[in-house]
Amino acid sequence: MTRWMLKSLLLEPLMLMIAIASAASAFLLIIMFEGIFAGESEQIVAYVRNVKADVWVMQRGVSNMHMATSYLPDWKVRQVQELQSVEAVDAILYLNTVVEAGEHRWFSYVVGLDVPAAYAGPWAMSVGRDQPAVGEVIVPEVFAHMAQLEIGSQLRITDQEFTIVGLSRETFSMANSVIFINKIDMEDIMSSFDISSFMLVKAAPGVTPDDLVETIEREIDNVHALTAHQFLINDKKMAMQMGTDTIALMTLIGGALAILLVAFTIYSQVARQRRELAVAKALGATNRALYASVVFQAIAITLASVILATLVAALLMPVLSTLIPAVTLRLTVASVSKIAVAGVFVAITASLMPARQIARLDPVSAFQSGG
Amino acid sequence: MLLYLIRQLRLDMSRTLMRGGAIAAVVAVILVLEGFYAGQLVQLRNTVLNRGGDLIVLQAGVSNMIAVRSVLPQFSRQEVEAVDGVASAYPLTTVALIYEQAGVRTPISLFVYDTGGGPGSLFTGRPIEQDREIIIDRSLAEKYQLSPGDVFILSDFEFHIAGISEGDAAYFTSFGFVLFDDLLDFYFESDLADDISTFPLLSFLLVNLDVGADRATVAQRIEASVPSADVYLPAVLADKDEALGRVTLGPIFETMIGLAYIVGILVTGIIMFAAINGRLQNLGVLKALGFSNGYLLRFVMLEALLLASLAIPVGIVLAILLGVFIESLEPLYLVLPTETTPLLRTVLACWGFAIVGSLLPVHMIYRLDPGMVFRS
Repeated sequence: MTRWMLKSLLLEPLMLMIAIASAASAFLLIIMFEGIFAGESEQIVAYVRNVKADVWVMQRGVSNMHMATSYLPDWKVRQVQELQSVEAVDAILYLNTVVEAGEHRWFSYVVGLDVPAAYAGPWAMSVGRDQPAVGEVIVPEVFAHMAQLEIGSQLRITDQEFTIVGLSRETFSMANSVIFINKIDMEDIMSSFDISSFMLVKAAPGVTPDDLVETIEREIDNVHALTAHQFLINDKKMAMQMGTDTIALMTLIGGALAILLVAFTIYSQVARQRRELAVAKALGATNRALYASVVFQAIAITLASVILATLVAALLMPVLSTLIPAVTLRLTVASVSKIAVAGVFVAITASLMPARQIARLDPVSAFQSGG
Repeated sequence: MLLYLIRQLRLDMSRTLMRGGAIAAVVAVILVLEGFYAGQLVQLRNTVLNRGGDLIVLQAGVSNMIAVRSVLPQFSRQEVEAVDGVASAYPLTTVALIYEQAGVRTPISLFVYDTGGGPGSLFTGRPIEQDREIIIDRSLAEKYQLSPGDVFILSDFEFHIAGISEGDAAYFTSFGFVLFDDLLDFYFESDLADDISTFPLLSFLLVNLDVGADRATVAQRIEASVPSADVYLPAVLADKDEALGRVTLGPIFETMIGLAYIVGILVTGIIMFAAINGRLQNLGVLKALGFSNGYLLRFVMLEALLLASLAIPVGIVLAILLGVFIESLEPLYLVLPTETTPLLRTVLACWGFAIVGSLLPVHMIYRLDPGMVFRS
């Protein structure tokens, strides 16, 4: 039985290859779309995820960073610093705006650092300094590459000029690239002084983030404190609405096309074998054997297609990342597994339609002309 | 040849429909992806163009309306109105806020206006007539099932919805509109920051010119008399917002569209290849009857083009329906699948895919042995 199933699968090697190539093309589309979605979803919250705070403190009513406006007077920063359960506080002032370098313009999150910042600044540097003095800026390496900037180049934020002193890594994304300047410059840009947007707080040894949240909210008026974990969840949820949901929707549309193409491929493959399967039935093969054969073929073709598409995607992603550094791609086992499961389900469903027609066939028809 | 081709396509109708359907699906998906991107750019442009005015005044160094902070000195309105050629200057302020209801949070851009720069067109309800009223975009209203007359609480400040507008969203953000009279109350009574000096009181000025005044000349005069401001024609500012959209969204959208094109080529090519491979016997008969390789090649190319030409209109209709469905599901998005350039690009690409696909098995036609017809 197994031998017969294998034999019928390999009966027309060229058509089998065509079927696998066709389904693999569809899977490649969805794997790449998923790769973009996974990459951007992670990158969009890169700052919040990578800075080493235990607790984030912000204005009351605010609970995330993305598109949020939070202002705290600096005396509240000093109040938090004086709490016994606090080891350190890094305060930042931030603004989302457009930065310009020559003809290049980019939408960025500009983080004003209270220098020296222990952990609120860039967490991975490619080259240069990670603490910007007044008039200095640290930009993502990808941004610098795209705008042909280097250390010493000039960059404009609103009407102020800055000199690039460092290139950071892992800080670039479609929706919110992160650049760092000195907080004094940020106060000038915003014409607002002695204020911060967020406090990034480290707990004293032995103090849990949850305990620290409770202490800060009890001791300091009109602030909202969240553990870094909860703040990341909130920020990701908000950031997803600003762009990545669109990618998800586009992935869904690409997925619908992939499903259609896989169904078409498998249906065609099984339908092509209608006569052969009818002969097998005439020679005594049971309906169960026929169904097993088409399901086996559907699964085999689908899995081979997913493997082929994954291999092509794995080769293509580094090339695309080099050619289009603005796009973050990530190939994950979870994505591929999800696609494989959906693909197998669609393939089995598509294969059962022609198989059902064959199962209902009169075996004698196989020997009639044209049967 | 055409008659024979049509007969061939009708011979196995279900397979023809499936092949055509697959190509139509490829066309539809490419058009929807293109339409998504085009829609985002149009929304960005409309944000500026729908505000009105002959000129727009912004903070010096700021050259976008969407997703940036522009702060003009409060007295700049009087300074601009004093410039020769200016008939009036309407203030407009934008504030980025987050609306929350039942734990669901959504970023919104609040446009604070006086007489100009308000909502584009009302979908339902009426313009603002009383204190503490707000007009919100349909995308936000449908997300939270809000209607005119409902309470709309923003940062603990209670507005009442006067109307629902349409087409007032961009950059994945819905817009809300309130009058300047309510701005200070909102700043003082809401739970915004302790220090409201951090929030802008005036972001833009929408300038109307005297009849016959030259825009460029008046713009120069304004920049000379208000050094803290830059002046743009609405169309130029719209271009800049669109350009920013292309920079920010372009890499992702263009990569996804590019991938869809590549897969489209592969799929169409494979479909055509499989179709011709499955009909080698028929082609062998034609060859045995004396038809040349060139004729057979033209035949398969014409078949591919015919199939693609039948599939393209179906794909376009599918894309339009998909676009309407997406917009009704999520009014935040504008999907324009029939924009001229992407449409032409997709149609040409589809014909290109079909020709490439039909040429893939060319070696099989050339190597076809007419004798096989008589051996089988």
